[in-house]
Amino acid sequence: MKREELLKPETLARLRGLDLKARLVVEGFLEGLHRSPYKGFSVEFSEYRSYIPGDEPRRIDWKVYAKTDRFYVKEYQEETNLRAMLLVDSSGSMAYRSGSVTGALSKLDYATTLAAALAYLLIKQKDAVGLATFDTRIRSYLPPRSSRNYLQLLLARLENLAAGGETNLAESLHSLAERLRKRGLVILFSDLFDDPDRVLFALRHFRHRKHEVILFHILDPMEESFDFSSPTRLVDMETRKEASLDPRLVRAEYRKALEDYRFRLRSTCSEHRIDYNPILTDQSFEYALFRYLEKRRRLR
Amino acid sequence: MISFANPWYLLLMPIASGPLVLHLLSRRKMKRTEFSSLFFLRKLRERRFRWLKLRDVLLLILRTLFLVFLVLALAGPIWKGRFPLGKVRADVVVILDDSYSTAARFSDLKATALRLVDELSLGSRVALLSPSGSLWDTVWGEPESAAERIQALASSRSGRDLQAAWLQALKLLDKSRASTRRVALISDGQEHALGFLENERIPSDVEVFCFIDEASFPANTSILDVELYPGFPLPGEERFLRIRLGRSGKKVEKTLSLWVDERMVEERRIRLSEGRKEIEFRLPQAAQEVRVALDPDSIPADDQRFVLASGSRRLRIGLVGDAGSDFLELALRVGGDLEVQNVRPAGAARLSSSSYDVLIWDGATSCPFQARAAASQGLAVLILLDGDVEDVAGAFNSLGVSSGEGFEILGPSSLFADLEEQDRRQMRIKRYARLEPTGAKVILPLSGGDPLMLADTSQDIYYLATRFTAQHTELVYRALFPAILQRIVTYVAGEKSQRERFIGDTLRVRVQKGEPLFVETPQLHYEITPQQVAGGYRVEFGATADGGFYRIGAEGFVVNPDPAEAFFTKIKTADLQKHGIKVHPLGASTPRKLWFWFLILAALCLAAEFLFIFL
Repeated sequence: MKREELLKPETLARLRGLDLKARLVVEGFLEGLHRSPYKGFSVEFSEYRSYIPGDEPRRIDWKVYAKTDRFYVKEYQEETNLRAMLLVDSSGSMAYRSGSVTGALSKLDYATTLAAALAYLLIKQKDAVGLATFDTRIRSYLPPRSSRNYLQLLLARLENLAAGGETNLAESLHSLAERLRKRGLVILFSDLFDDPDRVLFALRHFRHRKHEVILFHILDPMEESFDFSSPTRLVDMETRKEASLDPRLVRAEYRKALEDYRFRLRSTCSEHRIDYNPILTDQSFEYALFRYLEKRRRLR
Repeated sequence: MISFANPWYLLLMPIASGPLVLHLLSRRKMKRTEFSSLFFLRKLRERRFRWLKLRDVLLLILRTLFLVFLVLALAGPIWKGRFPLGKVRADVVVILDDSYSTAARFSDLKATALRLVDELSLGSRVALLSPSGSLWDTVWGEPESAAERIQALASSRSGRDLQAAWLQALKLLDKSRASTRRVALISDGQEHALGFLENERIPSDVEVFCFIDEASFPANTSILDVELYPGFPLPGEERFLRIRLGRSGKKVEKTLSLWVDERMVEERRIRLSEGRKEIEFRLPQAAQEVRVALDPDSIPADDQRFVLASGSRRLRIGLVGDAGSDFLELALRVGGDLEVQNVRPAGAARLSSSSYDVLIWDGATSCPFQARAAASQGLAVLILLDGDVEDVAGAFNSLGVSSGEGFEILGPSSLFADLEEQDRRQMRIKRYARLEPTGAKVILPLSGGDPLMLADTSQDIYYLATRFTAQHTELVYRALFPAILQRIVTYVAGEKSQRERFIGDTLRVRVQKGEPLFVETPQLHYEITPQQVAGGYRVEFGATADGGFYRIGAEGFVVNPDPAEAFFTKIKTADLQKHGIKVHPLGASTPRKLWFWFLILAALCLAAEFLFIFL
């Protein structure tokens, strides 16, 4: 299977086992990063290797150069210096998927796969990673650990995660912010169907606690396009409330409301140095992983 | 009250419920779809859902109304207002004005008459009268048959007042024993047609209703006058037709066409920017019958005129002479275009209209009885008065005729400057005599020697006062005299045939023999045998029904629409009401067809729907 294929949600939707999915995503992703410049972010020396274009010049060991007249760069033993917390929204709305059963991932599937891949990557880099799932309240909480065995626990928890219940995103985030005492990286996966003021206030709570925050705003393509063709009775997956409407008549208004919502999130997040990443469930995981690595790099 | 011309179309009305049914069905069959959250829709609902729901309802109403109006338009709705006469058992005389002026809106008048008849209660009786005589009941009839006859009636082209019909109506009602007796006069409201009512005594037990068309006429272009120029042409002289046009209402471009001897010779597009305009046509030399026509409009009576041009026919002149007639004969023969024969005075009494075009009686001091006899046979007579006539009073005295007998005076008005005011009022100055030769200027003032013409139009006798004599020393005057005399003779010959007759007039010709005569009308050609009357025979052609050229034997007539039918001064309803006449506007009782308005409403609904959809 080609690398690109491994990163496509529709490919992964056909696979079983989150462990496998996470591994394939990460391997596929890393394969594309030839001679990863991201390798080794810790401080304990490991070995020398020859300099290759792309390496940062400051990592050249000038003493060795003086002795051997060749460029060598230092490689360091990776070590746990990051505490990442994966926060996965498991409210009823996250179960939504617009495509056929085999052809698309639900938002929750997408979020768990992405969270699993990130967990895999973090553990592989010897970072500590934890997991919290929530809807109206925190459903499960695994504190950050860096052992490989812990990964299996995380993946098992993610795999067994089922969507249900309403969203009370703000409350849950506030609780989590209170619970995470040590500074670290908070990665939130959610569709953010909640009052934007409260959500942003909760996110600022993390920032107040000196956490770095990456926000993956996950939406289904249909939620973005609202491309229903005929008059429909829509049933809210969280509240089971119904609304009969002609989507053609409200489409423009809906899209505008969503766009306004996103714009507000983006601008407020930018203001508080929160990485805001809108993402659709038909989008490659590569984008999300890149976003993470960018952030990780800045945290070095 | 609304009724329908095609009520069976109303059976289609259930289709108007289609949008409602479809709306309900679509709601029932609406697909149920799970959606992640109504989070954004809830926000929308707050702002816009109420409007969208209202819009849905409005669309539903508009679609339903569109179909309702469409079906109603198909059903042909007719609005009948409350009829002013009410439903009463009565004897009603309906006078339906069918004169030419009503032609453009006769259907409205008929509709009112039909409504009136339709509204009568059981046992009512109706008599119908129309001024043209097309309807002239002398007994009462059933409303049903009256309705059929009204339906079949067309407007006439004659112009007649309504007084005769009014008198007949009173005569009918006089014999009626009904408790309610009514006259309903349905007219376009011309003042000159209805004015007589102001002087009529209305019986106290007769109710008079007048339905008058109060609408003013829309744009109208009219032929005000048509004149042949020169008025006294010499034989063979080029002639022109001067047409004066008038306009009321907005400017409309129209076509004016000239027909000569049944052939159209010229057509001009005209647009009157001013109120009036004069147009001139050159007539062909041999032109006999000339018709000028405008595109028909709201007043048809002024849209065409017929004129008889004398053409190049050689006139035959009978000259009854005395001592000075040699000079006169010479003056008539100059140029050789007139055929002159001498007639003895005794023989003049036996002449007929076919003998000569003009009989000239030279040297009389009053009208000889033989000349009167010839005139009574239809011959145009010109009497040359002997001696000088310096003033009009002298001319009247010399004729032994009083000025109150309807004489017309033809001649320069300066001649009448010294006239007594009383005499002036009794005479009508018709026009200046056109005595100047064509293309030349009169250099000799003819004061003191002006020919003065008097015309007894009732008898076709013309009097010309002149002081020509063989001894006359005024050389210039003598040189001009033949031209002047020939013009006058041509004029007299032409005037007789040009005398205005109007549609509806009776044409009469006296002949000496009882042999059948050929009659030509615009529609018919046939032979007629003259009736014997005292002193000869007479042919009478009943009421003329069309404008145009008529010929009975050798005599030609021109019949025009009555210009009075083109006058449109409306009678003041207050004046009628003062006399106890109940006046109603024509439109108030005329059923109105509403299908067009319903169609407009349907179109508006459709337009509004598109607007809602695309906004």
